[in-house]
Amino acid sequence: MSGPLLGPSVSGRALASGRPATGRSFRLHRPRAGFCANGTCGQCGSDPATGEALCCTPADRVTPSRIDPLRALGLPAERQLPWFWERRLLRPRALRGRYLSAIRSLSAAPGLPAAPAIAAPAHRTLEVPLLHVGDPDHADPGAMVVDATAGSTAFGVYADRTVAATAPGELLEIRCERLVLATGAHLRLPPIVGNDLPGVLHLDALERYLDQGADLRSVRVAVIAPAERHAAIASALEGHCQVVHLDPEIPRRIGGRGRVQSIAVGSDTVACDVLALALDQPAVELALLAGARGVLGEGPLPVVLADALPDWVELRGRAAAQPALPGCAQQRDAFACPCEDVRVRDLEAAVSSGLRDVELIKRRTGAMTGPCQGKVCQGAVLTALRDLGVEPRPMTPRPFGRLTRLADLAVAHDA
Amino acid sequence: MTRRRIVIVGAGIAGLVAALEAHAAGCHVTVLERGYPGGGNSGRNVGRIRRMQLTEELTRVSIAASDYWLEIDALLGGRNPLLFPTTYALVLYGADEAEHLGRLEPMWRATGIDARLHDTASTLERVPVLRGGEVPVGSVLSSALLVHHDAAVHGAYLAAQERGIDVRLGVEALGVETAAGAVVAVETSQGRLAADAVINAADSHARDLAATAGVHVPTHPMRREALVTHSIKPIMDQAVTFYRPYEGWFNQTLRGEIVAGVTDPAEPAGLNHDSSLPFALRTAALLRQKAPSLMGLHAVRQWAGTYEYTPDRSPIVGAYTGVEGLYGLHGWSGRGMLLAPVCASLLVREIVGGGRDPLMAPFAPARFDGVEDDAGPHADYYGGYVTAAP
Repeated sequence: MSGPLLGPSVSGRALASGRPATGRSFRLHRPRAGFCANGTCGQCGSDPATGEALCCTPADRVTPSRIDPLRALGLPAERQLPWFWERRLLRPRALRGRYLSAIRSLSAAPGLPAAPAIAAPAHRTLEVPLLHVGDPDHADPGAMVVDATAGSTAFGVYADRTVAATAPGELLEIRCERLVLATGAHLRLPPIVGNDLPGVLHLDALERYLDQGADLRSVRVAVIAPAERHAAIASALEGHCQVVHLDPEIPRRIGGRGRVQSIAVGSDTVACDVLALALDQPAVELALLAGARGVLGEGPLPVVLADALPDWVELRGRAAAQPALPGCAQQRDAFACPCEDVRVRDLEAAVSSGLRDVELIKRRTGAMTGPCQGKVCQGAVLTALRDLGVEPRPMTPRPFGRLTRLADLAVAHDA
Repeated sequence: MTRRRIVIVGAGIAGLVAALEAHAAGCHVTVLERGYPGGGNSGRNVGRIRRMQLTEELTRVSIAASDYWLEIDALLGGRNPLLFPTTYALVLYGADEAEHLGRLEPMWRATGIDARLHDTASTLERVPVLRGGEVPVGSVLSSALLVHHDAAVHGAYLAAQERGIDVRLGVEALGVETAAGAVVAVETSQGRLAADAVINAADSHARDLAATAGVHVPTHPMRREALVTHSIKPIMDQAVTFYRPYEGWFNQTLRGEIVAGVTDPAEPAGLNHDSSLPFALRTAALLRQKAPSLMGLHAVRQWAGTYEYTPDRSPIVGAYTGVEGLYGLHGWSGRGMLLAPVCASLLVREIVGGGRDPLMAPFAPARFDGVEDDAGPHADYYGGYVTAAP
């Protein structure tokens, strides 16, 4: 875990270059770029030398590869149900299992990953009366602050009011009497066709790329945000990128090959390179780990909210908001879960095959089990399931509240 | 003649395979599941199917169990549970361990399995992921299988639905009702269900259910945790286990994730599904020590399940003493995915009058009559470690 980034990231520079894809999805090998620009969503890929997310890696350190040789395998697979292998691919019986081995060796990595050259972090245990996780501007005086801007990142809440965080050279185990979470928001992915294309991102991510120093002046940006924020957004982005569309309504679809090239709004098509969405999914994952109950909210584009917070935990700022998002039609070919390439129609197929429980459908399709662990997709998946008549019970909260590199967890052995 | 009514408690891999086999044998089958199929230990494991075991009787059962897995897709309605070949690597870091396991080679040869002791160079050549880490003394390598446990459980559940088997989700078995020493019904959270036979496949809850019929089974659950990384391209074909107790294991799944775990010698007995920070730190530290090339991967999730331990670390399969028509199918002690399907199949054959298969001899419930639960050396999965002479 290194400190805050100075200068553009690999992902930021890729976005500026007009070729935003730096990662690829695991199952269908679709080109991907990050939604978050803060290492949460896991879509942008990672630095092979250190394992750091490319949105948090300085641009000069890595040149992302543009060609995915396995896309040729992904294209035919996209036309099948994700579990087509069960009855079709894995026959005849004599060859059972061999296909899977063949696919594994076809797609095998050329060698072992490189081990990041960092020393084992020290394990530091501390007790504080008040711990503040997230935006320091919201912190009470005297609180210990854990935040990327303070050089540390919380990844879990465990028993006995213990918050675990990574910091440069240290693994912090912080026992607190009170916990304030001002963790902001993730993107609530809208279920429209093209929603996984590189160039679709959270408005916060666009701002982060600009803060890092990415030069996006030639990039055409469509922004979806509530009308009352339009003036502020327009003036904030003025001179930094070309805002070609500013609208409260979610577009009908997103078009493009390998990246965002246009959006369809009503009967019009707007050419653009980036679709920045001010659609907030409050970042409640640490609150759920602390014991709050997850519920799917109301409205046309519901998000997952933390209910029944334990008395020692407080949500603050956008993490505590109950955003009222605009509606959009649920499209069957849209991705509900981009990490695992699960489309709305895959969820439909799982339900109609006879599975009627979120935990079963999660395991069947892989939805919500990828790097983001539901932060970006859980609202979309649960809404689709609710519409299919399945009780939209959020999945069991488990650490890690955030992607955490093994090297940052591997503390020198405690006696 | 009316069909035999069998009630199966638990819709994990054991209960569902028993249901499919009993249905095929002409019984009227009802399955009770308090949560969702595979919601207990069947959904919280890594699906290692290996023939190599440390005793001859367990090796012979494991060979039958592996063969059963290779044929299971017909039972699952043509679904393949993502069964794929792997190499099981039991990695050794002590000369005493290698010496002990070397003495088992003749037994492995006699049973016809390909488990062999390899030296340091051969181990590092065949298990390259260990390069750069602590140098092993050697390893026992054998061909094995990995199964995707969810695919297996879902395949069995969907096949049961297709065949019209009554699988009741969200219904809890509260107790077994007996009259004159024989099973007559199961009391459930949704009423009484008459039964001629009851199969107790509730693993971590099996002890409590058996107790309602006055049967004492000396088992106890132990938490076992795991963590999983994000997916990467295939880098290893082996399922690695470190033989030293209190150490751990890891392998890559078909989805590309590395799953890993390590046992905690101080873990108390009890049903506990919480994730713990010490586990995550111990596991990462273990991987740094043994397979440092994995250190750049990101952990995405950790979870916990339980091993239901019996005193001899072998399962309980068969009729309990004292209650006619009540059968145990639990106590897997960490070998559930491997053993449950074949044991379920052979138990059903026994129940419908086909006799008891000699392979099941070591698993008779009666061996624990009058035996108390041992809260023993918990992390000692092998039930004996180095000290057990072959």
